[in-house]
Amino acid sequence: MVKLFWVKCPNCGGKFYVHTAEFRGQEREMRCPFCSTFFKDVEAQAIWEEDEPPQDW
Amino acid sequence: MSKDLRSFLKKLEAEAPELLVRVPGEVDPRFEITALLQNLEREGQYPVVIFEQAKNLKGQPSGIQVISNLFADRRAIALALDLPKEKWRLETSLEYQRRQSNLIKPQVISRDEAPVKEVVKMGDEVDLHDLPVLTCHAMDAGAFLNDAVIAPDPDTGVYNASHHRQQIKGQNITGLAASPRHLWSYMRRAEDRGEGLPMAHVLGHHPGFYLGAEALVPMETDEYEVMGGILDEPLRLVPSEAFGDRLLVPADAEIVIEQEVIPGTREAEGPYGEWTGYFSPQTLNWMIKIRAITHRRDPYYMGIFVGHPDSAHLGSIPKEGGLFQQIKNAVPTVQAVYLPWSGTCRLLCYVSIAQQAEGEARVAALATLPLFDEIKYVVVVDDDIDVFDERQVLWAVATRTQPAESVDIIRQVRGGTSDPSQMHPTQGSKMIIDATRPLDRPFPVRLSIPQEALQKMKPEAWLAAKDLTRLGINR
Repeated sequence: MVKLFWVKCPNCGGKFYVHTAEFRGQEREMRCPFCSTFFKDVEAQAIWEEDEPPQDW
Repeated sequence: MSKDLRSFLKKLEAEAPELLVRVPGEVDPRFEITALLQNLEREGQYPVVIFEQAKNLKGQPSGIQVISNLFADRRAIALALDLPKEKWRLETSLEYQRRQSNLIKPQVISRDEAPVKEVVKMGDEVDLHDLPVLTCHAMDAGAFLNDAVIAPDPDTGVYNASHHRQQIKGQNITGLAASPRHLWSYMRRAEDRGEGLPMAHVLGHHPGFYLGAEALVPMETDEYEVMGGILDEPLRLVPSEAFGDRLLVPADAEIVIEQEVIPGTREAEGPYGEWTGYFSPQTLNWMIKIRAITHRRDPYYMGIFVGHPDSAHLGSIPKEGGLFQQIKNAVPTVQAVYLPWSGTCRLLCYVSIAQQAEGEARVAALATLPLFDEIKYVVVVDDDIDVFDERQVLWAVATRTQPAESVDIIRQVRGGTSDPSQMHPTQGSKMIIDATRPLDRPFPVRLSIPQEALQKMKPEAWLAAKDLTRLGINR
């Protein structure tokens, strides 16, 4: 399976994961599945990519 | 009368009414439909469920009934292939295989004869939000169409059919995910010329239509002909509204969405709860423009419960028959093949053989691997083991194998791209477990009780009625 990383939406704080090669450092917009906000990785409220994020992240 | 979803529902009601339930109350397609299906699954129940009143994506009554779980119980699939429901095991897979190799050309009819043309919406009338499109799982990026997508090869006109998810992104825009197989090839070739590819998303038809879309056939084989074979009659087609003869669509469908790839576009699509039981990540995928929606006057909307037996059996039965034939070429004494639900009906494969010579079990296992990439574990057992009974298979593994001698691991083999455990995008490893008895030394005999005694001591002849009822023995 492809490598993925977690992001937190800058608008609603919703957490989801995306394809690393397609979105990390690529200037491409992700789309929040919860509020439909488009944003780039540098605009994310937070990013978690090394391991599984904790429950309260 | 041609086979369609309605003729199948009549057959189901007549021959297996216990496999069909109706929900009269109004439901929201966002999580409520799949939540009920999940709760039924927890009770060990997998009926076809018709939701008689479903809201659309605007929160209004849609006037469209939703049907799901058509493939969740293999007995319903046996009926779809005109077998008795009791023949749900290998007989169903072999019947599928027989029909798949009997291609039947489709029949083109006029639009006046086509039930799917009873209502035609084009231009501004097209609005996907009028439909009760399911949002299945918590992290899904919204509502997704998830039935069969049909498209003609841009060079040869040969039709491909396959299951794809399409995320609703607007009134007439969706995003479509495609892995590098036939439809992907079609879309890339059209895109390289700067052209869109006409396609149809078919929502609701006879189960044989969707089973045909899962056939493993070469790209040169027209899958409308495969579907005819599976249905055992010519599939009726009709020219589309938006593309005319360039795109023929199934005339007896419930709802057809006529659409076109927008060449050169990619946008974030997903996450989506997939067949693996996990959410696939958001990726860049094609944008699709909807050109027309046609449907029956009172259509059913079919939603597949992906990641559950509904999608799992839809994928496995078309593969089991092919696997059986492939193994049979190498090991003629193969008895049965099963892709169990515990392995999502793809990753685990159980094979039984009547082993004649040492080494046949490994040959049988290796023969399964070329057919499709997702198989990761193959367990081969003797013919006294019922592969459809997982407890028996695991008993054979527990009592007939020694890990150091019975297990082989093959590394760096092409694997399933969706397997979440796979570190490499396309390559993984496979494990073969030879759980057959050795032939080169005496092996202990299975426990047994004489048949005469078993016949004499039937519980119904010896237990009180109240105890039979209490134990759930009803004969």
